[in-house]
Amino acid sequence: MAYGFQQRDSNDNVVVDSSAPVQTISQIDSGLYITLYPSGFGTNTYTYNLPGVTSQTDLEDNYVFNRTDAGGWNVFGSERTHSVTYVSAGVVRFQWNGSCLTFLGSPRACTVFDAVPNTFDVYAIGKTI
Amino acid sequence: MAYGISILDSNGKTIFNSNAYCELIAYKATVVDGLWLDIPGWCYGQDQDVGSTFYTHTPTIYARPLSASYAGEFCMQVDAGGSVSGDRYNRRIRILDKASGTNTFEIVVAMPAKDWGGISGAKAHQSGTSSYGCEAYSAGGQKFHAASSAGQYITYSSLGRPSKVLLAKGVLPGSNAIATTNIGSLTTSTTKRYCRMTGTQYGHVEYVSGVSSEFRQHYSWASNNSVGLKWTNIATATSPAHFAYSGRSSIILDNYDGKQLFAIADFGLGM
Repeated sequence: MAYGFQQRDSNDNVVVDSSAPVQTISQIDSGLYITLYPSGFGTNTYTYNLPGVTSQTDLEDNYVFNRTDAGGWNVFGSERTHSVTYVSAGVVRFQWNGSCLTFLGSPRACTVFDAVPNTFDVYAIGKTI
Repeated sequence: MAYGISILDSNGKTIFNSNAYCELIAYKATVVDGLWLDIPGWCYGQDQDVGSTFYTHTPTIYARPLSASYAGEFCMQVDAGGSVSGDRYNRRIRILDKASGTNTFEIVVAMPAKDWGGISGAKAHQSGTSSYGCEAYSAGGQKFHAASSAGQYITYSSLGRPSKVLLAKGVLPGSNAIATTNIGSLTTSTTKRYCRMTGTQYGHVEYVSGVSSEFRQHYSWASNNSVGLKWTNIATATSPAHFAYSGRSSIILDNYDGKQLFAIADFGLGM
C-alpha cells in the first residue's frame, strides 16, 4: 500500500487496508428506548437524529436498528417493531407499527394498552460518521 | 468527529474512529447442519457483571459453508437451550440447511468493540495473541450499562477482526410464495465471505386452505462469489396447530416484523 492504515494478524495476513474501499459496522447508539402508542392514545411517532443518513434506501441498506429487548432474540412469540422512515438528511422518524387484534386474530378497536415499547442498538455500515 | 483518531478508507468512509464502536469478531467455531452449537456466555456479557444485574448484549452471528463446493440454502435458529455448566445465558444456535445433509458451517460471533473489550483475558483476540498493535478508545465518562461506572472503552483494536461489509440490504418478509431477493454482486475473491444470519431466525407463518407454512429468508449460496436471498418455507402443518411442528423446525413463530438486515461480510485474510 502507498498510504493509509493497514492491520495485519499475527501470521502477517492483511485484515484491513484503508487504501481500498472498506465498509465496517459501527455502533452509534445503544439502549435507545422508545414507547409509541396507537394513533389517538398518545405519542405515536418519535423523531431521531441519525448521523449521515441521506435517503430511505440509505436508511434501509446501511443502518441497523437491532432490538435488544425481547424482539432482538425473541424465541417466545411475536412482538411488534416500530417502523422507521427517512425524514430529511440526518433525521428519521419511528412510528407505531402495531396491530390491534383479538386473541383469535380478528381486528378490534385499539386502546392505550396497545402501546409498544422497543429498545434498540443503532449501527451504521460503511458510512462517514 | 471533533477530536480523537479517525481512519477512513479510499472513499472517505469511516473504518473506525474513537467516537463509535467498530464491530469486532470474538469467537469462531464450526457446526454441522442441524446440530446445536453453544455460544459462550462471554459473547453475551458474562464477563461484564454490573452489580446485581448482568449486562446482556446481542452479538451478531455470521455463517458460511466450510466446503468450497457447497451450494444450497440455509438459515439459523437460536434458543436458550444450551447446557454449558456455569453459563448463565446458555444460548445456542444451529444452521438449518435445506439440503438436510451433513454439511459443516463456519460460525463467527461479532459484537461492538466496547463489549468485545470487556471480555476478560485473550480469548476474543482473533487477529493474533500479540500484545501490540493499534487500539482506539472512546472519551472518558462513557457507560456501557446504566448501572456501570463511567469509563473509557475500546472502539477498535487490531487484536480483533472488524466486520467488513460487502453487500447489505434491508428486506421485508414475503408472502407464502417462494421468491428470491438480489442483494447485489460480489467481486471474485478467495477471501472468505460470511452471511449475517441474524435476520434468518425470524419467521412468518401463512395459513392457506387449512395448512400453515412458516417461511424464512435463507441465504442462497452458489459460491464464495455469488450469494443471494431466498424466501422459502421451512415447514408446513395442518392449521391451526402450527406450534406443534416437530423435528428440525421446533420453533415456529410469526415474528418477522419490519425489515431485517441481510449482509455479506469478510474479516480479512487468515480466517
